[in-house]
Amino acid sequence: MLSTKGIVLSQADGRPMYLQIMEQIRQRIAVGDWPGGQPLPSIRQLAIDLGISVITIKRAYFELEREGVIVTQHGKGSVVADGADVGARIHEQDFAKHLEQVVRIGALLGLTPKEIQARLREALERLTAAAKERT
Amino acid sequence: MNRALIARLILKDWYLSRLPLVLIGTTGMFSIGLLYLRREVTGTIALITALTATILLSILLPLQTVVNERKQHNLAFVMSLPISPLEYTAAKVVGNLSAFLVLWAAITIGVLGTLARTGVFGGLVPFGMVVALEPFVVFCLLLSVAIVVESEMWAMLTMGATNISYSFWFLLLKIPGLPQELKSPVAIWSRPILLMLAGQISVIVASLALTFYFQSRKRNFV
Amino acid sequence: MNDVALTLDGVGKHYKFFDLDDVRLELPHGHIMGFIGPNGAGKSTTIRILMGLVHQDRGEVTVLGHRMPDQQAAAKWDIGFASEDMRLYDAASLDWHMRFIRSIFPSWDQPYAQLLLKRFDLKPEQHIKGLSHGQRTKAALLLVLARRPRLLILDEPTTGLDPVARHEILRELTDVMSDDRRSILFSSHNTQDVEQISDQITFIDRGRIIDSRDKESFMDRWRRIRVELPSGVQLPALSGVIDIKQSGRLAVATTNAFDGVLPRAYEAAGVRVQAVETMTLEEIFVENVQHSREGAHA
Repeated sequence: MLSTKGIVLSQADGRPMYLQIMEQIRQRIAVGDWPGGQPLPSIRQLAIDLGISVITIKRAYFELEREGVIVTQHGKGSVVADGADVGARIHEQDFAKHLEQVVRIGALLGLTPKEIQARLREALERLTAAAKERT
Repeated sequence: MNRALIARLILKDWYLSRLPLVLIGTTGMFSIGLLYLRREVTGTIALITALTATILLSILLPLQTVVNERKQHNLAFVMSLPISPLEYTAAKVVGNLSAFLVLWAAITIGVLGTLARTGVFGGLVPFGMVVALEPFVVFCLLLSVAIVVESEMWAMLTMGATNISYSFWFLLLKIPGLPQELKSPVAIWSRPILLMLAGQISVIVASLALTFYFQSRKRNFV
Repeated sequence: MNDVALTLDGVGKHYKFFDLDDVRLELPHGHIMGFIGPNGAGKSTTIRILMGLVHQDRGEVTVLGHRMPDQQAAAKWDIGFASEDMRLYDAASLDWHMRFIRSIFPSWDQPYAQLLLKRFDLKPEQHIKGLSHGQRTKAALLLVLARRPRLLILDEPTTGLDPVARHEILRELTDVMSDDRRSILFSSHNTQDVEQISDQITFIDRGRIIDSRDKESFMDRWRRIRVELPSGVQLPALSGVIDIKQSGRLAVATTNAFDGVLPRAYEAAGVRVQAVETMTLEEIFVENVQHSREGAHA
């Protein structure tokens, strides 16, 4: 049985609870703590463990299934999606989301696409240089 | 009607009123004991004490088990139990009535019986019965008002109003022939006495019946 | 009809200064319903009608398959009720109350009761008279929880409790859900508690149900949209926006019918959308009440 002990939700986190739960589950899968094929705790059990309404857990599982991170068998509960690329897929989705945000905020600042690209390159160079210094 | 549950409610009320009930019972027994000293002073004290005990009983029981329960917001707790409003009313009436009757009957029979057996004060018994029945009448009226009207103020008003009834005995003594009947060594159950007793018993029965009637029509129970 | 724990259908009740009007509610088995609304909105009246303690003037009330108030005695075997204005007997001890309830309800779970005593930090020998408000609340809840009733109807179960006690109560309430045939209806001013554990939210104001739906849909319809108006651009009036607060070129629009279209509609009108934020239940509560009251006056 997968352990839910470390799943802690923060009241200070402004996001809806179901999103927080999704993130914590995704992390565990991406890191490998919750391996592919493993059955997830039942919706009701997770709700009780976390002290949260069943419907919120239901929604989190539903959205995770839409993302392909978990698979729900009708009447049999949910399992972590199989396949070595699940972790990679999670990171990929994260990366895409952040890229979108960069573009959006850049537009808000009034930057042209060329300027956004330039800033991206600058950031890459800075980070590679810093990494080189540490080694 | 869930009799087991009603019994539990009655026991609960007796338990919560146990201290004053025991005190009144003890006072009653004490006053009967005083009568046996066969002296005028102690005899008078005994009669007054016995009467006071029954008057206190008539007030205490409804106040403690009904008025206080509402005042201290315990009623919602009781009504959250699996009972109907009718069963609540039955528990209150039967519980109060039985507690009252046991003590009242013990004191009344004790006092009046002792008087009858003296062979000298027998004449006091019929009038004594009217006097003894008055707290019973007051008790029923108070219980009815407490259960139906649910207001401490009205309970107090009823207490005040019924207190006046005790003073009417002076008028009773004006009934022609009555003072002589009192002095007789044997009990004389004359018409005026019997009429009075009939009147008192009617009030008792009516107030108890009306309690159930008005309770059944209530739409806001708590 | 036993697939729901309780229903209220077209329920009305008239008081001199207050009317409960056309109340419609349904709670399926195995769910928790949070019942919220301002003071005097009718929460306690509705709850009393559910318990059969107040007889409705119109409408049908069914609780656990029993019609109320006529069948209240039968229904109450399986209902655990605790109310903020309900008191236990001051002169008796908690232990006396436990024995009293135990003698009536065969479903009493003594080991669980002992566990609750420990969790709630209560001493059974103590008389109710000597307990603080929070301890009395916990005592009343213990008496109700230890019976493991199929339906819990709680009026303000966490009001006046310290954060630790509130946390413990919420824990016990969510634990009830491990049996999917048990249900809870609770009213509370603590919107955080309601947001956390409710499957369904019912909102009542001035004797009328304003909204009743599952929590996720409920919260999903509300958003704050922060916008920036470029010079010369006016904020368009869009349907679904119930409140706009504007100062200079910055504005915040509040909507209770969010469907993803609104931000795009703003951008199409030349307005720059800075952020689309979800709202806490407390913020929704305040907006909802203000909006419905302004609507009544408009």
